[in-house]
Amino acid sequence: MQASAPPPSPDPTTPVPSAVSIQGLWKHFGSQAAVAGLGLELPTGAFIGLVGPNGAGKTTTLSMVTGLLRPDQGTVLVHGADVWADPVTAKARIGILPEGLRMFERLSGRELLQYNGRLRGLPGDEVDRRAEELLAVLDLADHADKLVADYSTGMRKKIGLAAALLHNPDVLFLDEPFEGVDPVSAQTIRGVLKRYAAAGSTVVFSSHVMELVEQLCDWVAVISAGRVIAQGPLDTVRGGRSLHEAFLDLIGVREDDGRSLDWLGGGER
Amino acid sequence: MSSSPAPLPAPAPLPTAAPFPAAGVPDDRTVVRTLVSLKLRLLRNGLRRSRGRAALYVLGSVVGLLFATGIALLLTILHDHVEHGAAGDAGVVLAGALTLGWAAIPLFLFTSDESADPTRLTMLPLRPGPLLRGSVLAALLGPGPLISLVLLTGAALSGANGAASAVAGAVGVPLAVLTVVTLSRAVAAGNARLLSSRRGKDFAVFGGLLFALLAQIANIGSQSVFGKAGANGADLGPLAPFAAVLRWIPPVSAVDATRTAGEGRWPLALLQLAATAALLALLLRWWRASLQQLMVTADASTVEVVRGVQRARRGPRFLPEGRAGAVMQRHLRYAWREPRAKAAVFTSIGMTLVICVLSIVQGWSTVYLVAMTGMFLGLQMLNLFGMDGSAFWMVAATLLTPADARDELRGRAFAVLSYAVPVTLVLALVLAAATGDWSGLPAAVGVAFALLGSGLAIGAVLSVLAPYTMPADNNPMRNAAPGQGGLVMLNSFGSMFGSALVAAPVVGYLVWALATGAVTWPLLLAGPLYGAAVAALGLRLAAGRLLERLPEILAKAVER
Repeated sequence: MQASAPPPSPDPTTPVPSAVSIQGLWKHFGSQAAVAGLGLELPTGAFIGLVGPNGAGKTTTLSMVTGLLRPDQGTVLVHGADVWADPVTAKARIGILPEGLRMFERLSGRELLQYNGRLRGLPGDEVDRRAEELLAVLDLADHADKLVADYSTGMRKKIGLAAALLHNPDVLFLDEPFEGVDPVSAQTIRGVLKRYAAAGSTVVFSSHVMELVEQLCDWVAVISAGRVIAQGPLDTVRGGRSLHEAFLDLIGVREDDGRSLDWLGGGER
Repeated sequence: MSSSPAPLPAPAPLPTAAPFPAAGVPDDRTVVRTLVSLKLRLLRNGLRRSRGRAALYVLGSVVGLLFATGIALLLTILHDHVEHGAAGDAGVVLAGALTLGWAAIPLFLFTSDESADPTRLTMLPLRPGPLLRGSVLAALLGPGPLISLVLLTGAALSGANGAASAVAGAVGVPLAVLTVVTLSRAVAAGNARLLSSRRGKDFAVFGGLLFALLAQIANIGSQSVFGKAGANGADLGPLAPFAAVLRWIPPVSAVDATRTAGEGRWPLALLQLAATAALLALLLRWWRASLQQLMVTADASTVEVVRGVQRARRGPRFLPEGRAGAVMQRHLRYAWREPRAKAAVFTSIGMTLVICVLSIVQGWSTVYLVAMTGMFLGLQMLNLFGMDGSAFWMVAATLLTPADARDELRGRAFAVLSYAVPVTLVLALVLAAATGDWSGLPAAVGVAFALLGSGLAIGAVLSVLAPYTMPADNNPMRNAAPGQGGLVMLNSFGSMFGSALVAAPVVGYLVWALATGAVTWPLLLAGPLYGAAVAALGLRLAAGRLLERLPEILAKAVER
C-alpha cells in the first residue's frame, strides 16, 4: 500500500503536535475483539475522516476516545491529557456527537442547549448568547421551541452539533454526522464544521461515504476489523486513485460481477 | 375478472383498465386469506420471542377464559335465584361495560398490536373492500373475542326464558360480539393518525394510568354500594337504573333481545336486534371510509403540525444556581413531558391517594398513613440514570469533578423533593381533617420526611451501584428490559425496606411514644432534620462512586 503502515510510536520530530494520540487500544465484547490494538496520531488543526466498513470498530473507538466506554487496554491522550487518567482536563476540551445515542428528546432545542451549556459550567448569559447564535446559523431558530423528539434526522444532527460546539472544544468528535441528513442540512453542517476547523480546531468524524470524506478531509485513517490499516494525508492514502477505489483495495473487496439477480429490471414481472 | 373480456358491455372504455389488473393487484380472496394468516403469524412470532412470554400469554388467556366462564355461570345461576329481572340487569350492565372496554382498547394497545394498524399496509395495492373483510376476520381471531363471546353468552342467559330466548340469543350474541370487535377496530382506524403519532402515544400512557385509577375508584365505589349486603347476599338493586337505559343502546340491545323475546315481546326483540345490526353497518362504513382515507393520504409525520413548548426561560428564581439547577429543571420537565417518568410519578402519588381514600371510606384511616407517602415518593429516586436511557451520555460527558457529581445528584433530589414535600403536606392535612386527629399531625409529618430523606439516600446509592436498563420501546407499563427482574426487585424492595430500616430511630421513637404516652410533637423537628442528614450522607456516598462508574452506568443505560 502507498499509505503508511500503522505508526510505531509518536514521532517527536513531527512538525504538528498531535491533537489526539491513541496507543494500543483494545476492546473485547465477549470473545470478539471490536478494537484490536488500534493506534492513531491525529494532527492538530486537521479535518480528519475515519473511514471503514460497518462493524470495523469506528463507533467503539470513538466511544473510548471520548471517555464514554472503558477500554480493556491502551491510552488515549487529547492534547496531552489522558482521557481515562485525567478526565477533568481531557473531557473539558472535547465535544461529542455520538451516533445511536439519544439526546434528552423531551426538551426543546433551545432548552437542550441551555441545559447542556449549564452542565458544561458556562455562565447563563453566555450560554443564551451562544445558543441563539448556533440556532440561527444552523437554521433551527424556527424550531427552537419544539421538542427534539419531533425533530427530523437532519435537525437532530444539527442540534447535536450545536450542543457539541457550545463550549468551544479544541477537538470535535462526530460519529456519522451526515447519516440520514438531507442535502440542505448537510451543507449547513459542512459550513459550520469548515469554519470551526479553519480557526485551528480539530474535527474528527467517521463516515462510510467516501465522496464526502474526500471533499471535506485533509487527513484520513482507514479502519478495518478493529485496526488502522492506513493513515495519513488524504492524497497519500488515496495515491492518485479515488478514495473509493483506494478504500475497496485496502479492505480487499472485489466488485461483484452480478450474475445472479438476472431477473431484476427489464420488462417482465 | 380477466377471464372473459369479450361479452362485457364496457360503457366507459378506460385506456389503463385493461393491462393493469393483471400486473400487480392481488385478487380479493387472496387478500382476505393473507390478512388472516398475517394475524396468526404475528401472534405466533410474538410468542416465539421468548418462552416466558408465550407461557404468560397462554396462561393469561386460559385464566381470562376461566374467569369469563365463571362470571357467565354466575349470571346463569343468579337468574334462577334472585328476583326476576335483577340477573338480567346485571347481564346488561356487564355487556355495557364490555362494550366500553372494547371501544377504549385501541387507546392503550394500539402500538402493541401491529395487526390493528392499517397504516402499515398503505404501500400495498389493496382495495378497501377485501381489506375490510380480511381485517374483520383477523380481528375476530384471538382470545379477546372468545372471552367476549363467553361473557356475552352469560349476559344473554341471565335474562333468558325458554326457546324464544334461545333463538334470539343465537342471533344476538354473535351479532354483539361482531359489533364490539368492529367498534374497537373502527375507533382504531378512525384515529390511526393520532394514535400512531408521538402525541397519541404519550396520551395513551396517561389514559392508561387514568383508566387504572378510575377502575380503582369504581372498585371502592362498588364496595361502598355492595358492601352493605342485603338479606340474601348481594343486592343488585342499584344496577336497575343503569340497566334500564343500557338495554336500549346497541350492541347491548342485541343481548337484551333474549329477555324481550323470552317475555314474548317479539317485535321489540326484533327492533333491538335491528338496532345493533344498523350500528354494525354504520361502524363498517366508518371503518371502510377511514381505511380508504388512510390508504390515500400522506403519512402523519409529514403533515402533522407539531406544537412547540413555551419559549424556554432559563432558571426561574426558585431554582438553584449552576449544575444542580439545570439538572433539577430538566428532571422536572421530564416528569411532566416524558411518558415513562410521568407514569412513575403519577403512579406513586396515585397509589398513595387510592390507599388514603380507601382507608377513609372503610374507616380504618389514621394520620400516620402519610408516612407511606414518604416511602412511595422516595422510590422516584431509583434508577435515575437508567431512566435517562442512552441520553445519559450527555451527563457522563460533562461530569468532570466530584463537585459535578454531587451537584448532579443534588439537583435530582431537589426535583423529587419539589413535588414530594407539597404532596406529603397536603395529604397529611387531608388525613388529619378526615380522622380529626390533629394532635398526631406533627409527628406524622416528621416521620414522613424522615422516610423521604432515607428514600432519597438509598435511591441515590442504588442508582449509582445497581442501575438497570429500561426497555427501548416506549411502553411505560414495562419498567425494565427483560432479564433484569433481580435488579428491579433489589431496587424497589431495597428502597422500601432500606428506608424503613434507615429511618428506624425516628419510627421507633414514634412507636415508643405512642405506646407510653410520651410527647410526639418533637418529631416535627427531629424527623425532617434526620431525613436531611441521612439524605446528605447518601448523596455524598453516591457521588463518590458516580464519577468512577460512569462508563459502567452508561453501558447499562443504553438499551439493546
